[in-house]
Amino acid sequence: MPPKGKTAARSTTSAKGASSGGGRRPGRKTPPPITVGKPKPWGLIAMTMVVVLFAAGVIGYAVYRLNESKKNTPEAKAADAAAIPGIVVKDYPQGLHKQTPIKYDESPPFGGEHDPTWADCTGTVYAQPIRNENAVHMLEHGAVWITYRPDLPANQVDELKEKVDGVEQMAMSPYPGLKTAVSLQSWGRQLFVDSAEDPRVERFIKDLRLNPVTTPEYGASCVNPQFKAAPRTPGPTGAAGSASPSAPASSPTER
Amino acid sequence: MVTTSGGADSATATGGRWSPPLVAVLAAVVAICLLAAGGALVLITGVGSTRPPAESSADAGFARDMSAHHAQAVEMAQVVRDRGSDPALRLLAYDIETTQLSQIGQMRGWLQSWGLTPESDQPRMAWMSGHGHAVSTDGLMPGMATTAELDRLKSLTGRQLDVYFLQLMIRHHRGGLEMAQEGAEHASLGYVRDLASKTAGSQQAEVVTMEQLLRERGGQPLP
Repeated sequence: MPPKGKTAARSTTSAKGASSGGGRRPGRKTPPPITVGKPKPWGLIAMTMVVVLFAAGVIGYAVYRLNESKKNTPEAKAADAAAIPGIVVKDYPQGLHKQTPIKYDESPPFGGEHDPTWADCTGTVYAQPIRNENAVHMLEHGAVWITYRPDLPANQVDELKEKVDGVEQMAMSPYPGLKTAVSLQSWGRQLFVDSAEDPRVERFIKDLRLNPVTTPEYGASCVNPQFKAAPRTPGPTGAAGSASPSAPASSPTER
Repeated sequence: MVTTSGGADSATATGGRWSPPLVAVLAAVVAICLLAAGGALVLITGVGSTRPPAESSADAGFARDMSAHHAQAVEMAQVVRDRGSDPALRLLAYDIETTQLSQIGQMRGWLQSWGLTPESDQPRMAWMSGHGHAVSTDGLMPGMATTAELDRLKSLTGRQLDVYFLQLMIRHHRGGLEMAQEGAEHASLGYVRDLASKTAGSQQAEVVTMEQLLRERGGQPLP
């Protein structure tokens, strides 16, 4: 019977409170006993302890709730992503379209000028490499692009597929010449890891996929059935980016 | 009530004396704890948290007017997404349609969570600070097409449709730019300013793309 027990406990406490608070006032009639030290007002101390514990509980709960409510904001996630060990964060201007091949400073690129056609990123697992210029455009739409070295063990490729297949705003493709086993890209953010099992992979996706703060065109679609059916591959023209006469207008500025 | 005597009470009764400083300290501790707990309760219950934007705020004005402005772009884009003669243009139209439709959803969601609706007694663009951006005599916001122009767009086909769409959409994007910049500057909420400035950025870039597409098709921008 919890209610009964509670009431009983409360009444004793209040009784104690009343007796200790109300009754006697400290007076100076009796001289202090010599042998015994001053008696402590245990009731009052107990009351104080109850109040202290109550306050600590309420404050602790408030702090917990505040942390909880701030942990999942887009801003907090962007900040958490920026704190991932090894991540590179750069600022790129948005919306610059170009149909000719583009020479990127980064490999794989993760921002800047791009093709008007975005690569499909509806949880798409590309078997072949896809063209940089189209991939960068899907990053602008809030996608996370996972790339891996073609010699990545099959079980690790499967592990990546599980994170991508069918998940909106996700895509993955092999990337010949990648400097590590796996890398992740979202607009203005890149992370190289040595294994698909690295916990930072999950953290990168959780923080940045469809994050309205880091996505330049939040709300833009990943759907592009034509590209999905016939993906554009890097090819000889795509690789010869240096053939482009105009200098890349998007010189990224380090944040 | 007072008759109850626990061990502590009998001790105080026989001892007869409490140290006054101790009582003062305990009282102070109790007072501080109660104050702090009160503060924590205020935080938890959200009393005193910032109020949502008001009916006449820049945030609400931006959300309403940009939604309406976007809605016409969606309508125009759907025509070309369905019947445009060029795959590149159809993809552009699809991009404009889906992005702006999604943003309309965001902005209407904001209004609802602020306890407001897209409908309002506030005149169009009254929330904007500057001058010279009044709505036209027929009640249209800058850049918006008239009903006659929309009808004409829907009646066209082939290359004529492509060109006229680009002309209308370039003017539409340009007209919305000032509103987006105003929202980016004067809205009180960070996420409203963020969407406004991203809208301004992407529409400026899209105008450049569309002007090129228009030139490639031998068209001239509308005055």
